[in-house]
Amino acid sequence: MSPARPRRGIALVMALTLLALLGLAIAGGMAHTVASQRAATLSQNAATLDAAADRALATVLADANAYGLSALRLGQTRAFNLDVADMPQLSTTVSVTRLTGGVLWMVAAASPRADVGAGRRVNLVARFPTIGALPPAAIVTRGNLRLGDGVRFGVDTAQDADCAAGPVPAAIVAPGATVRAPNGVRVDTAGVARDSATYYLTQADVASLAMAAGVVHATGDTTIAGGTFEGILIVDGSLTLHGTVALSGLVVARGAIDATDAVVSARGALLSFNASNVSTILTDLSVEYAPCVVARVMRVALSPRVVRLRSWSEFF
Amino acid sequence: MLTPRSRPGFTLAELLIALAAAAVLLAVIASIALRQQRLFAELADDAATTGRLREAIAMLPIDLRAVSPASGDIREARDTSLEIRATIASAIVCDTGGHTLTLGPALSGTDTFAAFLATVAAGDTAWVLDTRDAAEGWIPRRVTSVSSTTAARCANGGPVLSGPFTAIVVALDTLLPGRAGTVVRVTRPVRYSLYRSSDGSWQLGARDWNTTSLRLNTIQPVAGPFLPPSAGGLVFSYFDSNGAAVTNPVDPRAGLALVRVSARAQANRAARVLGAASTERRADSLDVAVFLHNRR
Repeated sequence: MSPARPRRGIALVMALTLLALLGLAIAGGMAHTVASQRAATLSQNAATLDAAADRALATVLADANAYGLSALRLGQTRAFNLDVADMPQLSTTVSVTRLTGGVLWMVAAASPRADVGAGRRVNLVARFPTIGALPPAAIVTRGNLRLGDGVRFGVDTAQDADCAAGPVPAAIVAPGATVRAPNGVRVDTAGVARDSATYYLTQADVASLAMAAGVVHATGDTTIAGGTFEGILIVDGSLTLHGTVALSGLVVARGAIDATDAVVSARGALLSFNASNVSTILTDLSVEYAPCVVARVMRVALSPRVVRLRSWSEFF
Repeated sequence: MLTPRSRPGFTLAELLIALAAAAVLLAVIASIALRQQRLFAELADDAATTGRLREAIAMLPIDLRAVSPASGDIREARDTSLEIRATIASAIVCDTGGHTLTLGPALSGTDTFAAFLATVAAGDTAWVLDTRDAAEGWIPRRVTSVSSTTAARCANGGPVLSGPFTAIVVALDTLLPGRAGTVVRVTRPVRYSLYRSSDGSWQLGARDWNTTSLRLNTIQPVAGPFLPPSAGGLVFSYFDSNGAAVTNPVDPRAGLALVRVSARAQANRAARVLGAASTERRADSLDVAVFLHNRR
């Protein structure tokens, strides 16, 4: 039997060397591809995050009442977690703070759910439009005013600083109007009660409030026979109340308000742009002057919009 | 009796043939290794070129997006340079006192009341949102000094905060009708342009605002090198809200809605492997369109 011949392994070494070189080439190519892909992904992610943050802000702003922005107290911050459509991989949060002047400070953050640290923050400043100053008293009439002995006045004290009520009269009437009121009820006379802007009845005001949320616009003489109302009621004619009526917000009548046969409790303000020879008659009325309630129903009615020129900013 | 077994050997011819074959093989391997090295170098060069472009393209939009053309934030707009007022800080005024505004705290989450891209300094411009009437506006005031303080809470009208925080106090040159809860944006001019550096290369440079001399500083490189302007190294183009190009020189107050930034850079070496033995250097380009959020 012949012994085994020793084998030389140079072919194996050569093959391994070539394989190693081939591997290096492939690794180099892969590294380049991965680096390019990563850079492209980062750019795409950044754009996606920007878009998600902007969309989250737009979503909250477009549906301000549903998110309760109109009811936010002054200085209060509320945060919302949103699912942005078509972007389930992202986590989006919007914080809203209500500031003085009806301004909303909004900050949106979007980040990948897998990596909370890698996000974008965007700031938007919006504002509730205003259509004039808040009512100067619980009752404002252009024409005559007759208040019964059962009329009781109060002032809402749980208020925000930007709508807090100071010492105000119970009612204000235009110069020349006659007033009959129980003793102790302070009724002032002021020129402001002669101005249609005080009653939010200028053409621009009415146009702003038309079709707005929480606003009822009655086009002629109107009678309410009991019930509850919250919001803004604009009556183009006279307003007659019967039964037990609870009002919260702002009631504006172009004509007189007659509540001779009604028991009325109101929180907010009642405004009557009645002619000078027609009387607004309130006999059994409990009214709480609440300018902040009026401001809130105004915010419900007038959706916020971004402020001009410098509303948007990127945060880091 | 056993005889010793003869051991196998190599003839001279076998050795010469083996040596020749090994030499050829080594030469082939060396050639492949050299080519590999070049390939790696070119790939790295390519990646660096792309990186330079991305660097420039990533940085410019940050300053551009918050620009408000109608407020005069675009001070000069040309195809090779752009001078703007960049927003460097945003905050809610927490409190006021004479000529000073105490800004809200900068926090990391969405419940933040300030954000600073750069440190606010004297000479910057503070734009204070004026909400005294329905048509709000931004009132510009020059910052005269900046300090910090510890505050416990904001005044009425500002955000409701719990606990003490460090606040930036900004003094302004003129008294403002500002109050707690007012929003303020701080801007600072900056100029971007392509310039030729001392080594002859074309760089994207930035001239920051000198808050002491109230002039633009000497240009500093930001990213590069890029191709020269004649080869489209860095080109700014401007468009209105209808997508129509606004031609140079651009009226800074024109209704600009979009700025496109195009950058072109070239690899440092000729691509001998990737470019199929070309003697030309590979060039890469990147475009970004920046939508101006505050155009109205």
